[in-house]
Amino acid sequence: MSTALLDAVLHPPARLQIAAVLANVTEAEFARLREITQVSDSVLSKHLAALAEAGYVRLRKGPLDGRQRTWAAFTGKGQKAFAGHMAALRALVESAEQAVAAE
Amino acid sequence: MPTPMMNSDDARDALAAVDRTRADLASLGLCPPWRHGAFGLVMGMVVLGQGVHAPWMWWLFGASLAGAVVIALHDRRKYGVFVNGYRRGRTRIVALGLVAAMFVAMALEVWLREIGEPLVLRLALAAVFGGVAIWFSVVWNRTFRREMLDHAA
Repeated sequence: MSTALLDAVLHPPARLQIAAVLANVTEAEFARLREITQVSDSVLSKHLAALAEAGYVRLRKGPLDGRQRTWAAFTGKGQKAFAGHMAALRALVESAEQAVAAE
Repeated sequence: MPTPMMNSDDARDALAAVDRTRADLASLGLCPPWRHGAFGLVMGMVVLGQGVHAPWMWWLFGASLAGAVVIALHDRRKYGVFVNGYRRGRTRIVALGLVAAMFVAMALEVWLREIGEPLVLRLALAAVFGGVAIWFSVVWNRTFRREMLDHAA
């Protein structure tokens, strides 16, 4: 079992999904993130707050169709953390595959 | 916060979830044809603006700016995301290619205007560039989609 470079903030599956979206778009709206993560509004709010508190995500309110919506964007710190977390996940899988191959 | 513990099966599941999310995002690369056309129209207006004198130059500048805003609002409303054309990744080279082509077309428009070529020729150049911009828009979307799906493969 390896723990190298895994990021505790990005560890929960919903946060990893949010990060995967934000790593590929400039900004994502709350409803879109809820649709992708398939969690409730309150759970998504908590995940976004945790990501914002860690400095990984920037949140802003903006009008769309006459309603205020929440938009989330990755910060540079978030991008870097996500890249590191993904590298750690791949390293875990690769080391397991190498161990199996060596048997 | 303590570093989480994870075994290789959990890691594989996490990577698969990320791949599924990217595959979801690939649908953003499925723009309707009119969206490409609208982009081409806006870019054509930007170029034509260099081939005419004030006040038409300013009218075209305003119209192209308004068009860009309408397209961005449409994307935000329809997809719930905004993707900067210059984002990091394989699409950046496509975006830079479009910018280079736009500067060439703009310089040609200025030249045609300065040597007094008829308006119809300047309109034709803007129309051709609009077509080029449509092609770039299609290529950009295909490249984005492929990038998302390649990760998910």
